[in-house]
Amino acid sequence: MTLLCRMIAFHFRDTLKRPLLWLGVIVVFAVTVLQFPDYLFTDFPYLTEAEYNREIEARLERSGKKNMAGELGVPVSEEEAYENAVRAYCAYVALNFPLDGEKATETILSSRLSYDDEDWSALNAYILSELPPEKREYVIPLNAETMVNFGGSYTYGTYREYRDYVDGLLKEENYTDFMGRRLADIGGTILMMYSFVVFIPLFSAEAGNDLFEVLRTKKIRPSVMIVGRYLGFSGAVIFYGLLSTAAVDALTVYHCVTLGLPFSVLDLFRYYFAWVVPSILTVGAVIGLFTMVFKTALPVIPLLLFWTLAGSRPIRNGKGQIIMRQQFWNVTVRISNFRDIFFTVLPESFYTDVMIHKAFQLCLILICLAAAVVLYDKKIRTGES
Amino acid sequence: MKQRTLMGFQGKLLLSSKIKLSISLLSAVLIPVFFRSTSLYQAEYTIDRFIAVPVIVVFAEIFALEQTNHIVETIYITKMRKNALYLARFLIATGLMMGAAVLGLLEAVLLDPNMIRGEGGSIGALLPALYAWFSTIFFFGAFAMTMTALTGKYAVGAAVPILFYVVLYFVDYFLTNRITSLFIYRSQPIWPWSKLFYLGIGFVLFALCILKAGDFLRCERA
Repeated sequence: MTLLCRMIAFHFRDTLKRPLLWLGVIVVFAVTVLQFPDYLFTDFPYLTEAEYNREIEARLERSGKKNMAGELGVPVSEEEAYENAVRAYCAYVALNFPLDGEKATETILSSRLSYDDEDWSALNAYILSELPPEKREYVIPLNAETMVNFGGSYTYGTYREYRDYVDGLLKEENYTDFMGRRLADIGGTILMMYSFVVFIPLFSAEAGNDLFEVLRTKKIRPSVMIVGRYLGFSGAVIFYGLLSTAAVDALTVYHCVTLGLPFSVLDLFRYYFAWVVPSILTVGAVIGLFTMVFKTALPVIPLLLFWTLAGSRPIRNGKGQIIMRQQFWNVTVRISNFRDIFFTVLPESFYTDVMIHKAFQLCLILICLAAAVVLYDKKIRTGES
Repeated sequence: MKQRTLMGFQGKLLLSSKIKLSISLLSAVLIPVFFRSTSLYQAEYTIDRFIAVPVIVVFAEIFALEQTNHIVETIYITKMRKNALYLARFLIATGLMMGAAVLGLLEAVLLDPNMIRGEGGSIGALLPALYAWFSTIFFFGAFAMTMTALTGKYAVGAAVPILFYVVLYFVDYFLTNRITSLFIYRSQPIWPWSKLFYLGIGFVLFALCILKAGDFLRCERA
């Protein structure tokens, strides 16, 4: 155990001595902050009515203005979501096929077609029945896949609706809670990219220098060697991420103090340790294993990159509303179905999903480490590089 | 016959790195699984946008075979033209990546058969996609090949183009619809010319590598 601790401390210190990696911390921090300028450096969420209306107008005109994009909306009810989806879909079909869109919309809404069936089968059957037979095969039906183009979970409400919605949320949770969840998502993804850059050269240094012959002479158990290096390197990446999180936390708290918003200094760290750290450990274990197999983890970089970036497509229910779900196989916890931090009010089921996600990551870490130890042991015994 | 033998030999070399290559190719094929699309156009664009990463890794791997397999001496003494050897590798890698892109599109259609009902569902409409993919693959392939051949290092050969890809991605985000915009596809009128621009740069890099292949290997040997 002492040897393991010494190994971890050695690799941790050794990693921190690399100046280029410190430069990376600044990059990670800068890119992360660039994702949150409105949440940290404006009067958000305390906009005046005039500001609110101006922003809505700019948004509706699609002026390309990115700030205050989604946060000005208010969630819609199931009834409204259903109506919006039906109107958007009928308008689309009427544009491309000989169909009276207005009439179809009214018929569907008045008879509430497919209101209760999740697969929209009744609505699709009605639309097809209204079209000439030769055109039917070209119609894109409404379903879980295509709903992304028609359904909506929020709308631009009035200033009063917006204020009531935001004030209600801030009574329930701190502003830092919302920021913490958003940071865990976007900041976590950026940190994953950084961890690729850190882990790959660190793990492959030994294999690249053909040091297995030297290591064979050391009386260190393979498990201690592998786990020691893994935890040492991971600890360093976690430390770098912690610095970046602390800097964003300081900016968030300052923002809260300036505007009188409720906050807790520890909120961002809570999400960092619960949501981001397991992901760093997972990526470290996967890269460690692949380095043991290939001497370098570069071949798996595309896969890791896609794995990290994937999963941002929102899942929608039968009314077209986004369902907040965490896919168990994602690398990071993804809540980016919305751009807005005030739409990160998560249902209980989301936290259950996160628990399953973390259990999956733990299994993956254990499997990767066990495989790496076995491979390392084999290499040491055979003297193979 | 000689050409067939040459291709066969290069093929065997590639098989020696088959697992690494398989993983990189697999990641290219799996792009539609990671990034789901709702239309054929979106699927083609997604493949074009992300395929550069596996392309870079595959080309760097293929042109670093000497280093990873410690066969510089063997390669050097073989009685074959070194530029023919590079050409064969380039053709194989380009073919593999184009195949992966097409497979990726087929997979996207299988995942959501509705997409072939929309705009661009015909074979003729696939030609722009093939042109876009070829341009991206050729440019990043030639770039990775050049970097690997110049430095003789797999890691550098992959890392520099990936860094360039990331920079280009962010620049495109802010300065779109330019001749230098690589990540545009059909949404902007200039896209065929910007693809041609990168194809041209790729061709220059490709020609440089093919002409200097003997020199690169001689350097490695020294």
